[in-house]
Amino acid sequence: MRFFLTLFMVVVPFLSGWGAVAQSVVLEEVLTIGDLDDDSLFQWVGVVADPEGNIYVTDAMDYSLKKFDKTGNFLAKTGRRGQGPGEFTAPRLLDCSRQFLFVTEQYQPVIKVFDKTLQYRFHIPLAGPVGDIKVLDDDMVAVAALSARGGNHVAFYDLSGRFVKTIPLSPGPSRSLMNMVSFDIDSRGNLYVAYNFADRIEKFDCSGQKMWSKKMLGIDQVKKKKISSHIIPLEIVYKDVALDRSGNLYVLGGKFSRNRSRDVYVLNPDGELLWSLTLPDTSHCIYIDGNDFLYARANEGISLKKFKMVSK
Amino acid sequence: MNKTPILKKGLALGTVFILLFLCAGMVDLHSGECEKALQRCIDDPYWQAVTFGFIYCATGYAFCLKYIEG
Repeated sequence: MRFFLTLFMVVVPFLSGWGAVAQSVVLEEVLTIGDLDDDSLFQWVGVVADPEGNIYVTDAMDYSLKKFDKTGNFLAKTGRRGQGPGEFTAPRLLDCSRQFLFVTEQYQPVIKVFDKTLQYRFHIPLAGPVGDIKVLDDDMVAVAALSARGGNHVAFYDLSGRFVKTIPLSPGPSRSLMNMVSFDIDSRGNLYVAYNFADRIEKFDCSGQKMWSKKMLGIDQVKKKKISSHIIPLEIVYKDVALDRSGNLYVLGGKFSRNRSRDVYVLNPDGELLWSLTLPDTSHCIYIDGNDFLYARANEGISLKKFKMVSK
Repeated sequence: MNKTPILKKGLALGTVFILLFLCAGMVDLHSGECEKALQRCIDDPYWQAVTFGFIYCATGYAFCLKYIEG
């Protein structure tokens, strides 16, 4: 067991003129899983923690789902390369309900469902690949996916894959990467989205009514390039979002942030910037558990770090 | 007038600019990997045959950029 209590970064609200409140937050590293010297993790992608503090991770490099206890001890692993039940071709995102773990696949239109002992249970069939996922309960999942029909939306499905409802987002061209979003949903059903290739963060209520839209970094548009017949954006603006227990929204910035892939902007439920913080290492995602611990990547995916967020 | 310090400053500045250029190139190289992977995916007969195969390629490209860039 290794506990580090290293002070990493004092937060400075640096977006002047954006109503930032002078407040600082300290990230205290409380746990590291995986290191350059061990083989706990090879290239982790998705992370989630259950109410008991157990940590689950998808590892793309060895096609697996892994379970660690709250002190980082390895408990179990499942999966191997393949397309059979409980096997993975490219495991990606991960979320959990009280009973189950939900794992997305990059190149298969399914969500694979496991119990918390990592036994494969069933899969949820979908119409296409998943861009982001949020499990709402033991009976519903929300999915963001590029739409083949034009525009974009977050769709809700029951565990049999039956479509329940959709919240349409901003209209956009069909099958465009510009529509790709990361999202989270709060306890009231409000939906927060951050566009991966546009400087836009939005909030919708549970009926789909847009509450606000923010442009935080002053980016008009990202560089694009034509590949085959498709116009492809080349620069990520926002990588991921997560909500804490207070309903504050954490947005991980990408290329345009002062510290690319390390700066996290913290907005209150009204969309006002409260403060920002900087991760010690670049990350592709952020995750906040039920006790407001923040998880992020280190060592290019070999390490998972867990931080306590302390207000000063 | 001694020109040597000016030349040294010029050389130092030039070196800095070259290093900055090379660093920028390294970042582009990483991003280029995702572009190349996307191109391969789009050109792959398997994904061309799959309904809305481009969406799979595009989703993979976005993941690649998120994971590598930075």
